[in-house]
Amino acid sequence: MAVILAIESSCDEMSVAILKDGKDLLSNVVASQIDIHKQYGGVVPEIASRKHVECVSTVLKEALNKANIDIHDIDAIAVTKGPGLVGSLHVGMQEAKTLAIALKKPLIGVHHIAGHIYANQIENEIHYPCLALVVSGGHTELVYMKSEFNFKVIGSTFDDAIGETYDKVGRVLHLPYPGGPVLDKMAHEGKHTYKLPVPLDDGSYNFSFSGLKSAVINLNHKYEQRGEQINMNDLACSFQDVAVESLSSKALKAAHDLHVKEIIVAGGVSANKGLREKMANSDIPVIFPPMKYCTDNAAMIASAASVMYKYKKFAPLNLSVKPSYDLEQESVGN
Amino acid sequence: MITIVMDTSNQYLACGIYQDGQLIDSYQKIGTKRQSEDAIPVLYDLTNKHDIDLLKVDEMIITKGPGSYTGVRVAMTIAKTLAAICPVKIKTVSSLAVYGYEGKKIAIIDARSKKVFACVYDDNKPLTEEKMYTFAELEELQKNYPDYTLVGEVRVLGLDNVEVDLVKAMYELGHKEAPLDNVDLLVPTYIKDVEAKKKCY
Ligand SMILES: [Zn+2]
Repeated sequence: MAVILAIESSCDEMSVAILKDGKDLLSNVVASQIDIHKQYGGVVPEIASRKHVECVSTVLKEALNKANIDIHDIDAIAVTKGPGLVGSLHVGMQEAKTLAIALKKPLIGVHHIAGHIYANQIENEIHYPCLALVVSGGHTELVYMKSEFNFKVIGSTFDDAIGETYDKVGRVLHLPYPGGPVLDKMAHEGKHTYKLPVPLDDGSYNFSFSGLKSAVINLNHKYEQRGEQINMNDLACSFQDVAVESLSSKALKAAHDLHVKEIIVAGGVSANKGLREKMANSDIPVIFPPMKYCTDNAAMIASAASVMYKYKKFAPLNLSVKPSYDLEQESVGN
Repeated sequence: MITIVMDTSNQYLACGIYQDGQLIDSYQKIGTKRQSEDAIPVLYDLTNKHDIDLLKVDEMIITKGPGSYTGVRVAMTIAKTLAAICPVKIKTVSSLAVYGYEGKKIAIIDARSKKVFACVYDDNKPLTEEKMYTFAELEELQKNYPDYTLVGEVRVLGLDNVEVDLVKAMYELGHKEAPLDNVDLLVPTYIKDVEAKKKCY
């Protein structure tokens, strides 16, 4: 196998990881900017890019030091090429290309979502065919994988992504940013008391969360107008129950229809405890990534890149970053 | 002694290699807006052609801005990354000073929204601070320096571009400078604050 140095800088985290033979994680340094963006209630792209260029060399040096390897023992340089914030992606991309030409090693451009999916392979094996439930701030997708690194998107959201829905609801309820983890915690202290509409209950594999989001916002607004205080924990619980039910039921239906061996959950929202509990006792095995690999990190990019290295999926030196890349185009085989 | 110079901070992609004070090879192209894609291929081609090991380069001179935010970060990220893995010395020069190289010059760089970054130079000596000016303010500045030539991204004012040898200017200005003590602390010159509080999810 190989030693992969991977870089992830698609949003507000700058991360460098070194992974040996797909399983032996020598280092995974993550520099988070969450405290800076909290003040603005969301990620400010230009600030994220500025912070990335500020810490680019220190994060790299720390990852190399922790891994304690000779840089010439690195076999390939991997980097997130998109989707993500273009300005942020650029910094990681220049860093990766510089390392690739200085060390004379191949460059691997990794799709960010492929990274999230392969976060499940750092400590476990993935069994194919499987179904990936991708849940994050920018994505809500069901991805059928008939074999290794083969992606077919069979369902996606018509409007808001699930993570985005959590953040928007959090903002309306004046919760600290990011709203997702706060709502998850509140939901566990409340009861499902408020009736909210079930999103896109149509037997399809697609999602829609804008209706649910609006219903929560309207309900809260109605109470405010009446001068009554809504029970916030109960509202969080009612919202989370409906959201998680939609994700879980659609994933399970697809998993049965397609006869997969397991469901793997990927993306930032895979850290959600409500979702983990909901899917824990499913009749098909459901695998969640370890908590530390749920949010953006370079270990997951290295994990995906280890597979790509095996298939020699290398990128040219003029590789571009893009706000969106088609996951299916990344597939090995057809 | 091998020196690499690189500018990606505004309208050009410029890269050059010097050996013991002599220019070996250079590349300079205007207006492609592909600095992010092309900077590394150009650097790779130049070093590869002359059999230069990047890990053995002695110094790298880059522009630190002002200019395009993304553009400035390209050469700076390359320099910071290289400095993290080999003993290369990093030197920076102002993007305006490079345009204002030699003679009496008012150097300008597009700052978008009908504004420019500008600085006045008399034989490489800055006479003003690097500041942002509206087009009207720039006219006032020009009145104060009547015998100074306007250089740089003059196309934003509807004037014809005058080609400048950026590689030479960067080398001449940067080579004499002391290298940075701590490359990790290096950040671009932005001049403008982030005004857009645009969020992403
Ligand atoms: Zn992500």
